[in-house]
Amino acid sequence: MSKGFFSLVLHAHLPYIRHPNYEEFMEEKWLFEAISETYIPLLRAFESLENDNVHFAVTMSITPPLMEMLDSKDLQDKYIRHLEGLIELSGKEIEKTKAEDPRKHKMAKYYHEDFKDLLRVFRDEYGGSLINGFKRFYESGHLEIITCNATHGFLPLMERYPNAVRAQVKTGVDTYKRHIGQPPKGMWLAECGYTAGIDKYLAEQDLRYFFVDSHGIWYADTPPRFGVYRPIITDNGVFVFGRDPESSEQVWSAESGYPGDFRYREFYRDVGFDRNKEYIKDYIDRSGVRVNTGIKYHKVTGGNVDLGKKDFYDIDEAMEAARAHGRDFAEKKAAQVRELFDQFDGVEPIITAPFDAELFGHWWFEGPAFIEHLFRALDEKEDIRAIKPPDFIENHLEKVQINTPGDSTWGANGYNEVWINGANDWIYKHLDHLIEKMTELANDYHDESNPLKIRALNQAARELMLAQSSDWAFIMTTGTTVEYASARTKQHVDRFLSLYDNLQNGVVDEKELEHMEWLDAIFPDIDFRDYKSNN
Amino acid sequence: MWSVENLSRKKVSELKRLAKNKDIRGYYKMRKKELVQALSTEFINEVDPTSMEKIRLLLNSNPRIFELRRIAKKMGITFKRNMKKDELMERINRSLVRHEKNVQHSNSSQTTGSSSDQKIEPGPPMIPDLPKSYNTDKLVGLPVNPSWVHFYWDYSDQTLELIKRLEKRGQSLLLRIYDITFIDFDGTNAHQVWEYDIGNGNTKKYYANVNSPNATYISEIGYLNDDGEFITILRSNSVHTPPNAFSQKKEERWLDLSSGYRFSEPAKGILAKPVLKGVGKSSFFPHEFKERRITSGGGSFFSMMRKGNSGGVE
Repeated sequence: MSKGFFSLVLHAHLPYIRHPNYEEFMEEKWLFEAISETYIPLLRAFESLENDNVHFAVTMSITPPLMEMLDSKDLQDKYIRHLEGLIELSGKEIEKTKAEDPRKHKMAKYYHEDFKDLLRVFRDEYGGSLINGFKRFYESGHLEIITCNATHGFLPLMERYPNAVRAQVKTGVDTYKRHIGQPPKGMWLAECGYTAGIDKYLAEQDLRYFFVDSHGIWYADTPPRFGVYRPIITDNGVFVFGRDPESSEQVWSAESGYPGDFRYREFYRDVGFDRNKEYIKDYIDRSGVRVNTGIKYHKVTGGNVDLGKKDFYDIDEAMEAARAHGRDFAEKKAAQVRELFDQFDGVEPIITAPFDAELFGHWWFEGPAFIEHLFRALDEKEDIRAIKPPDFIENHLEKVQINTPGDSTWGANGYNEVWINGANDWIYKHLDHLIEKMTELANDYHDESNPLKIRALNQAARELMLAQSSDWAFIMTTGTTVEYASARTKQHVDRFLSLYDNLQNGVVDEKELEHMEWLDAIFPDIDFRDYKSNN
Repeated sequence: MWSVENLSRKKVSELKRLAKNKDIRGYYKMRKKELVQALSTEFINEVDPTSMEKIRLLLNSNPRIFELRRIAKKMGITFKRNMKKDELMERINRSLVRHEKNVQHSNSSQTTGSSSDQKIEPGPPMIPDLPKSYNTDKLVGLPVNPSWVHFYWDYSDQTLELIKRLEKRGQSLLLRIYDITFIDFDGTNAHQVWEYDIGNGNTKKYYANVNSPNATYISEIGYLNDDGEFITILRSNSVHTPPNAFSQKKEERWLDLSSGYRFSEPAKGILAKPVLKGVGKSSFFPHEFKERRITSGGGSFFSMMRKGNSGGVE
């Protein structure tokens, strides 16, 4: 009999970045890196656990834009070309490293085989769409896939407009159904962003649960008896799981967090930057801007070691560290569960540990191996069992505290300041204006029967939603690739305004519309009428 | 307007010059008919840069409604006769921005190409300019964190005229913020009022340190009349700042999931009371985030982007 539960939540998300009008586009590489370093390695870990009959339970929010990109034929083709380039490059690296260091040579051979295997998994095993891969583990019951609000719009700053929030939530649910074939049970709110009232829109879509950061539970309307270790239910009947701060601290602490271990792979050393330009030019951006290739030969070595003085990486040593860390984390979770179980007088706690999925693999190369070993170790333990949130609700929750969570995001300091500050506040004037104009269009045209106008109205809704991606505001705050984020915001706002003008002038330019539909092809089943007020 | 009719009246040399400006491919070997065709389909409703400049000047000089109608007609903008002046101005403005963009675009890219051909574009994507104002009266409050609220606002032309008149009399606009937590606000009964001088219409945003979490605020922009009375021009939505402390309520509410029975119990406090990480000082300037994780999710894909070259070039 277990004394408590562990629930791992991985939030997999990238903004909709797809530029079919370019043969290559630098920011599209974000998806390719995430596929190679995170999504396929996670699928491999799941497969290995399944083959060995290990009990594991993971929740993944695969956001609507990510689903649409994984499903996009032109991005799939571009990814295959990208991999073919890396197979070629790693082949050259095998030759080149012969004369360099045996540790580099060993890794070059590893990468070459790994890229070939990535291609096999991507193209042959899952037919180009990784959604099939995740669906496989969803169907076997190990993986709970949940959705996210449409384009990862930041809801706490949208809350004044019920129809805009509703459209974001509904489109997130519809997109999930289209790709997964079932309705989602839960939703990850973009940026873990909650403010009182958002749960109502989730209830409308029959969503049963969502997550908030720890302080969302702590500072709830009434004192939460079990803190973040038992879900609460809102007055609208939606369950809320609160994040365990200890788990994130153990993984993330600057001093003692696992990814900082000296044996792990160093992210910031990559042949894309280290090799001379003439040799590497065909494998970095066409403009000559150096980018990561994923071929990396160095290890963390030490926190204060200068990038230029890093030692060479050894994958066997690193995998051994991942195994030890996975086991250590499992031990810590079991101890935590035992302690909480006693504190709660025999009521079973659930530890909810959400992370960005891309942490595992992309930033922390050995992360997927860590996850695999974590589940292997958990499976050996008596006191703790991995669980998916709906199973916990169904089987381990007889009484639940009714409560209203406090505002929460998982941004710095826990509130909205990452998404509204001096670097990005200019966007809200435009986003709010677009919501108001979209509402006006939906009210004016909800009975429209002209197919061309309906297309223009739906495209306007797409442009609004794409402009609302919280990623743009986020990137403006981080200070890297700001130009891209700002351009994307402006382009979507501009396209919307142009569609709005055309519609209100009664002249839809079909050629222009067709072009926008091709560029911003997200959500083919979007319904602009969702923006109608008071429905 | 570049109608076929208008273009046909122009000389071939003139058409070639226009076609060259528009980067129309192979213009030099085109016959007159082809030139006319190319120009007329490429830029319907084109307005040349000098007239665009004239239109801008006119728009800024408080035009009469019939002048606006004339311009709209000239630019091929459809409008209703009963349309209000500011609406018409907004449309003309939007149209102007688009025309300018078209001109820039056609100067920078070689082919516009039909979208169904799915042309691969050269050069970097075009970045449009967005309107500086939407010509609407609006004051919006957005919560930043438990002690800061952001306000932004926009004015209609009528309001701008009023602001101009105030400026002539040496008067500034004032932003007032009212703490209306648990109050049915009637304009006079706020717990606290803060006032900020926001000048004469150029400032359009403000961050206010309100210092109270879990509280409700509303703001107004206005001015003082000769009797020292505050005259409201704009009023915001109400903004609620997030809570940042444990609830002091004495009751817990529960739901029995099998029976649907709801019941209350005296609050027992939090059994697993956390040791809180100090939520740092309220800051909203991005430089404070530099070199730090800005989500605790671990690294949204781009949150730990490379800061520069590794320094380890071979």
